[in-house]
Amino acid sequence: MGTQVSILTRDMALGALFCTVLWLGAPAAQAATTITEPNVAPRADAASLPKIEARRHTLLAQMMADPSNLDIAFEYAALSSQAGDLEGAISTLERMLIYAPGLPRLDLELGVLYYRLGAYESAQSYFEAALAVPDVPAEVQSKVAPYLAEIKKRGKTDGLDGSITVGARYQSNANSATSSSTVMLNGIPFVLSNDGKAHPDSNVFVSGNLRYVHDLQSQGDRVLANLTAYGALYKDDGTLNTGVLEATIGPEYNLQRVGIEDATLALYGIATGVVLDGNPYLLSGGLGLNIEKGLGQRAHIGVRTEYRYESYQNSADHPLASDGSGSRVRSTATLQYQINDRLTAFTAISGERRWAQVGYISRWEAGATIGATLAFGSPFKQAEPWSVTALAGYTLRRFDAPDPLINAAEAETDHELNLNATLNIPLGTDWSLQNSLGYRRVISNYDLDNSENYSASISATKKF
Amino acid sequence: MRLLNIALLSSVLLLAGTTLPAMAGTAGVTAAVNPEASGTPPGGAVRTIVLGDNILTDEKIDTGPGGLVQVLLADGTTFTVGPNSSLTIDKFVYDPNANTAQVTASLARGVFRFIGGRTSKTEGGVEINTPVGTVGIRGAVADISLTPNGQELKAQIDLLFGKEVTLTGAGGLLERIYKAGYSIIIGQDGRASLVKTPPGAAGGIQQALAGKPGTNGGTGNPPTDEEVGNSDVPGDNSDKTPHDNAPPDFSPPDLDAILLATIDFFDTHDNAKDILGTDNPGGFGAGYVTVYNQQVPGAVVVQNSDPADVQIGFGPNTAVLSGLIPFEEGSIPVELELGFDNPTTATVRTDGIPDTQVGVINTKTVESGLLCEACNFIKWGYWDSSIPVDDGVMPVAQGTYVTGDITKPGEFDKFAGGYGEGVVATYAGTAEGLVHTGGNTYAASGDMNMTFNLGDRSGTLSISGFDTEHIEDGLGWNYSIAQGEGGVSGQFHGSEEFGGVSGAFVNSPTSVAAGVIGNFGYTTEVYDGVEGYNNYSATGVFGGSFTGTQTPH
Repeated sequence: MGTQVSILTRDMALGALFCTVLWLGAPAAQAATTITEPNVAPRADAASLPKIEARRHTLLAQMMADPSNLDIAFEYAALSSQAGDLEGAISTLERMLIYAPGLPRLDLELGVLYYRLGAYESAQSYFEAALAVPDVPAEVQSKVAPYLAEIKKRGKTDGLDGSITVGARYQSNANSATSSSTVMLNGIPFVLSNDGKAHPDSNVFVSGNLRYVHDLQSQGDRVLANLTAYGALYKDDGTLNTGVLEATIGPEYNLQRVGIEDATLALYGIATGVVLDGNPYLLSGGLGLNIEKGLGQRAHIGVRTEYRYESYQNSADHPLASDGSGSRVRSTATLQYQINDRLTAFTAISGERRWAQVGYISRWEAGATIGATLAFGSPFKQAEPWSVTALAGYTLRRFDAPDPLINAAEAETDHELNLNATLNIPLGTDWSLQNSLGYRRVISNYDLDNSENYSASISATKKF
Repeated sequence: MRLLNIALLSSVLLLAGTTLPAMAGTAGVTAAVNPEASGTPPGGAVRTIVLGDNILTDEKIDTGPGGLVQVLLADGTTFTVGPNSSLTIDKFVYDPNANTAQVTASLARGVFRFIGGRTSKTEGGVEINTPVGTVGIRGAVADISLTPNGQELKAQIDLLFGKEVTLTGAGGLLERIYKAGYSIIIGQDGRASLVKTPPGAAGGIQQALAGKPGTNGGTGNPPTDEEVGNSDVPGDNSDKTPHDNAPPDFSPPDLDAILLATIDFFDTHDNAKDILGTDNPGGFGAGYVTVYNQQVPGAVVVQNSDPADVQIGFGPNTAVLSGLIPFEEGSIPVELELGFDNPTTATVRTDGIPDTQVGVINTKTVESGLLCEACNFIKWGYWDSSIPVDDGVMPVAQGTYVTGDITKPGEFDKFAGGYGEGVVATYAGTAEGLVHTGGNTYAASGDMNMTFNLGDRSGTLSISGFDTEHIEDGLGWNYSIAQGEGGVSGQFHGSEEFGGVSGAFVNSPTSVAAGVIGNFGYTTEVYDGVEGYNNYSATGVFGGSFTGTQTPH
C-alpha cells in the first residue's frame, strides 16, 4: 500500500509541475495592478498587453476631454476588445449608438461583443436591431446570420441535444493479447493457442449521446440526464463485438450561491450495461460527484469521483468474468489551460481502486495524461477551423495478490502508455469528421498482459 | 472654463498615485446627451446639460421623455440614463495607482444601464440607492428600471453579464443575482423575487437607451456605417466567426472516448486468462528425477536432496521435474518439462543440460490402457529420460502422465450431473504411480474415488488399496480438495505424512466434466518387519469417470 501511495503522490507532483508550467505561461501581466481585469481572455499577446493598457489609459483620459471624438473612441473600443475588456468596448459603442441610432454596423459590433460575453439575449436583440433597418448592408446580413444560428443553440438552457457518431476502426491487436506466442506461467513456458495470440481486426462502430437538461430556474441549477450508447461489430472476431449503454442522471448546482465563483457541483447516479458477443458481460450501478471550477479566464479544473458496483457475468467466452465483480472508485482531476485562441493544453491525473472477488484482479491504479488541442485554419475557404488533439498518457497498475495460475510468487504490475492524435474536421455547423491514430503499449511482469496495439479510425459525427 | 477643468482632470488621471476625491465634486463627464436633460448641482440652479459637461457629485441629472445621458467616469464606468429618469452620483473615488474605484449613486426614477470600469471590480465598489433598496453591483453589466406607479412592477433589476447584483433593504439582503440572465423584480407590494429575465426585457431597455431616430447624442459628427466598418473594431470582433468568439468551452476533454480506440471494454487481464486452456489439452505428470543417485518425487522445486522437503507442485497443463544429474566431475541442474501437444500424446522436453557435456537426453512416453471402464477419453502412460553413456544409458528421470480435455469453469453450467447448491458428484477410477522406498523404485497402483460438492466446490479424493503387491491390503489416504483456478487442488497433511494433489475435471467428446484427472504425491513410513520403519514415497497420476450424483439432503 505504501508503494501505491508514493506513486500516486509522484503522479500528483507531476501534475502539479505541469500546472506550474502552464501558469508560468500565463500572461505575467496578470500581476500588474494597472491592467484592467478582463471580461474574457485577451486577444492580444501577453507581451503587448502593458502597452495596450497604457494606451487605453491615455485614450480614456482623452475621451473624457473630447467624448465625441470618433477616432479616439474607435481606437479605445478596438483596444478594449483586444485586451478583453469588453465592457469598455460596449460602453463606447453604445455611446456611439446614441450618436447614430439604428446604425447597423454598430448594432452588429455590439451584438458580437455581448455574444463574446455570453449575454446571448442582449446579443440577439442587437443582431435583430441590425437587421431591422431598411437597406441593411449585405456584409452585416451575412455576418449576423451565423451568430443568430449559434445563439439559438447556445442560448438554449433547457431541452434535449445529442450526437451520433458512425465510424470504422482498425486495430493491429484487437484482442489486446500478448504479442509473443509463448508466455511464462510460473516460470514455465506455455505456448498460446491461436485464440490467445494477438490478432488484428477491424470494426464498424456507432456511438450516440443524448443529453437532457432541465433548468431548475434557480440561477444555473439544473438536472442533467445523459444516455450514452456504443456498439462495435468486428469483421473477424465476433467475441469482441461490444455493446455499451450508460445512463447518468442528477442535479448540478451553481456554487456561486455559496460564494464560489464560476463553479458547479454535480451529483449523479450511474447505470451501465455491457454486452460482449451478444452475452451480458457487465452490469454496474453507482454514484458520481463532479466539481468544475473556472480559474480566471483561461484555466479550468474539474474533479470527478465515481463509485460503481460492478457485477461481471460469466459466459462461455468469459467463464471467469465474475471474479472481477466488486466495487470500483475512480477519481480524475483535469486541468485545462487556454494558451491562446487556438491552443488549449490539458492534463489529467487519476487514481482508481478496484475491489474484486479475487486478489489478483483487485488493484490500485494511478495515471497521468497530458495533451493539447490546436485549432487551425481549414484549407478550404469559409470553413470552420479544423483542430487536432494529441495526448499522451501513462498508467500504473498494481494488483493486490499473485495470480496462482500465472505467477504464484509475484503480483502483477502493469505500465501502460497511450498515445493518441485525433483530427477533427467540422463540416458545416452540425457535422464533423474525425480521424484518429492511436498507440497503446502495456508492459507487465505477467507475460500474458504484455501487449502493443496500433489503431486507426475514421468517423463522422452529427450533432442535433 | 469647462475645457480647463477637463484638461485638468485628464492630466490628473495620468499622474500615478493621485486619488480623485481631490477633484472636489467632479464625478465624470457627459459623453452623450439627447436634449431634455438637465442638471441640478448641489445648492445650484437647474442647468441644461450638453455633451462634454462635467457632472459634479451630488448633482441631480433629470431627463424628460426624449432625454438621454451617458455619464463617463474616470475609471471607465458608464451610467446611461434613459428617458424620464433621475440620477445623482453621490460619491466617486478613483485611485489609478491602486486600480480601485468606488461609486455611490441614487436613481430616483426611470431606467439606466450600468457598465462597470474599476468600480465594479472593487469589492463593495458600486452602490446604487433606489426607492426599492440599495443595489450592489460586482463585475457586471446591469440594468435598473423603475416603472411609474400604477404599472405591474415597481422595479426590475437585470444582470446582463457578470458576477453579482444584490438588493438590500432596511432589513438586510432582499435578493441576490449571481447568474447572468436573471432579474430581481419588485412588485407593487414591495416584495422582491428572483426570476429569469423575461424575454424581450433586454431589447426593451436597449431601445430606451439607444436614442430615437433623428437624435444624435449631442454630437455634430455621428459615426457612419462606413466609419465603423473601416475602424479597427471589427478586426477582433465581427470579423471573427461565432466559433472563435464563443466564450471558452471548458467541457473536459473526453479522455475515455479518445482512448476508446485502443481500449476494449472488457478487462484484458480476464480476457487473457479465459483464453488459457482454450484449444489446449491439459494433463498432469508425476515422477522421479535422479538427484545424487537418489530418487526424488516430481516437483517444481527441489529444495535439497532430502525427499521429505520436496513439494509437489504440478499444475494443469504443465509439469516440471527439476534436480541435479551427477556425473564424473560433479553435477549439473536439469529441468524436465512434460508437455501435452494434444489429448493423446505427451512429450518431455529437457533444459539445462549442455549436449556437449553429457550427450543427448533421450525421452520417450508409452501410452497405457484405461484407468477405468468408461475412461476412454483420458490418456495416461509412462515417460522416462535417460542419457546414453558408455555402458548403456543413465536414467535421469521417469514417471507417469495423464491428459484430457480440461473442463473450463464456465462450462459447468452444462454439467450433465446437475449443477447446483448441495449437489455432490462422484467419480471413480485408478491411481497409477511410482514408489520409491528402501532404495528401490517400482510401479504401483490403487483405487481412486472422489466426491465433489458442486455448490461449494470442495470435496474429498481418496486413494486406497495402493501398492497391494508389496503391502498387505495396500495403503490408503484422503485428500481434502477445493476448487482453485481451472481445476481442483487440495493438500493433505498428517503427523507423519506429507502429500498433495492437483487435479482437474475433463470433458468427454459428449459430456462436460465426464471425468477427473490429476497427480498426487505421498510420503510416509512403512514397517516392513525386517528393517523396521522405512521411508516410503509415492507419486503418480490418477483418472476416473463420473459415476453419479448424491442428492442433497
